[in-house]
Amino acid sequence: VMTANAAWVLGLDSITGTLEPGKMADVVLWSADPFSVYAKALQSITTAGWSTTATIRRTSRGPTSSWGKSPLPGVIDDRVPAGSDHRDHGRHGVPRVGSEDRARHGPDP
Amino acid sequence: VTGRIVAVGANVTVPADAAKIDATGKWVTPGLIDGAGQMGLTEIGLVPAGNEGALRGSDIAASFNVAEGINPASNLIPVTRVEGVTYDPDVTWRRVDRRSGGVVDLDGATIEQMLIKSPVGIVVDMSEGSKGAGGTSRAGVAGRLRRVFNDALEYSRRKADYSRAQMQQLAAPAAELEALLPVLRGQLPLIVYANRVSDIRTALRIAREYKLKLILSGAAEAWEIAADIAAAGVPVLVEPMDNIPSYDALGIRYENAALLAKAGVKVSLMETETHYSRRIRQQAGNAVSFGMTWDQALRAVTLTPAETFGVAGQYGSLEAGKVANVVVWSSDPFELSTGVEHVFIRGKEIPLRSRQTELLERYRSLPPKY
Repeated sequence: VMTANAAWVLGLDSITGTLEPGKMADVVLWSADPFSVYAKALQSITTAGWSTTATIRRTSRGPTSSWGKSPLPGVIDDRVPAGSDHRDHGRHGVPRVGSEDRARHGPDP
Repeated sequence: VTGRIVAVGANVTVPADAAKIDATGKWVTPGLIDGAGQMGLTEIGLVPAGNEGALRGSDIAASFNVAEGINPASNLIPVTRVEGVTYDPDVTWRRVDRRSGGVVDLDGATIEQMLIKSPVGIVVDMSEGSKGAGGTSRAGVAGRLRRVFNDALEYSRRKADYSRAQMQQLAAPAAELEALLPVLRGQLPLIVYANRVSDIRTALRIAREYKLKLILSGAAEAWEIAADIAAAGVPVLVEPMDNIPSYDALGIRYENAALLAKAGVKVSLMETETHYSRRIRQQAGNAVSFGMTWDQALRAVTLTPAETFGVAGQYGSLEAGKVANVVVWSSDPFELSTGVEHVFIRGKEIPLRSRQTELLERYRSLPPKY
């Protein structure tokens, strides 16, 4: 759902979404089962980051947070334009948007 | 007393008529405690009808107790408790001075049945968000707070003069000053919401000056002065997954809870979005992935918040005599894939039903069954 299916929905399944020879080298090295709350993305290699705005990024990010970028390296999120000013918590792949961010810091005074 | 834990252990005598639950291979914890949340005080954020946690119109509102605004029929309560969170402090946020309503068990038909303790503290916002109350300066907020405290102390000494109108004009109505006196006598904690190091230091300074019992909340940059906070013996409520920098907290980071715990600070975790109170266990899991030990994280969502809010004699651990808030989990409670199998609040098993399960049942097959 977060890799192959999402790539297929975006019509990108011929170039990304699975680890196969010939596809883009979009790879994440996880410290543990990526669905575990304890897992961290240790290293990500991204040859080309595609998004709904079709901007292309060439990045290689380390284990630090992905604030301001797509929420999780190697995972396709078709809601977040790359390089947008979207403020994301990077809560292990669950983007936080709009009112949630506001609520997080308490109601407006 | 019913609803209490009678005995805990591997070799306890089980009465013949006791209901038995096979929890082989399962994990059993005390009901989790969210260090924030406004359970029963909010329903839908944008609909004023369901929001009772804030008082508009007055920025000194120490006499405001949110307890009577709690709606025991709130849809959020079952949604939260079926995920293992059995207890919330109903704390109200923002402005200079707000009274926190108390702490509640997430079961009960009336406010009295839910309420554990009220009040648990008076809340003061000393973050960026309350600057308006100090003439748009942090120094103004601190100065105003001291004026209010000083006037409360003077009012308490000169009530006769006050009733004869022989006092200068007070910084706040007498009822608000009166409500602050338990804080100034060190009987009731002052809960300060502050994030920037300088604001946290101001809170520590004011607490020293007036000999207050202080609780820090938010405390995003607290890790920078963890040793000082530990030395002051001040408990801290933090939100582990908060890492968005702002001018209120440029130093915000995921490791805050871990670094505070390592320095010996009494750390409790919180989920400030009440609708996601049930995710406190994921906050705890993430705190572990950023350096807290598992044991520290469990304590930070059970016994430490109970101590911080002054109810550890009854809550926060599985011990004989304590209130039987118990959860049986399918596995590690902090893991995303773990489910809740049984929830007991005050010894009563809670049906694992909520608005969400009702919607699931209605729309499981289409057309829906009305």
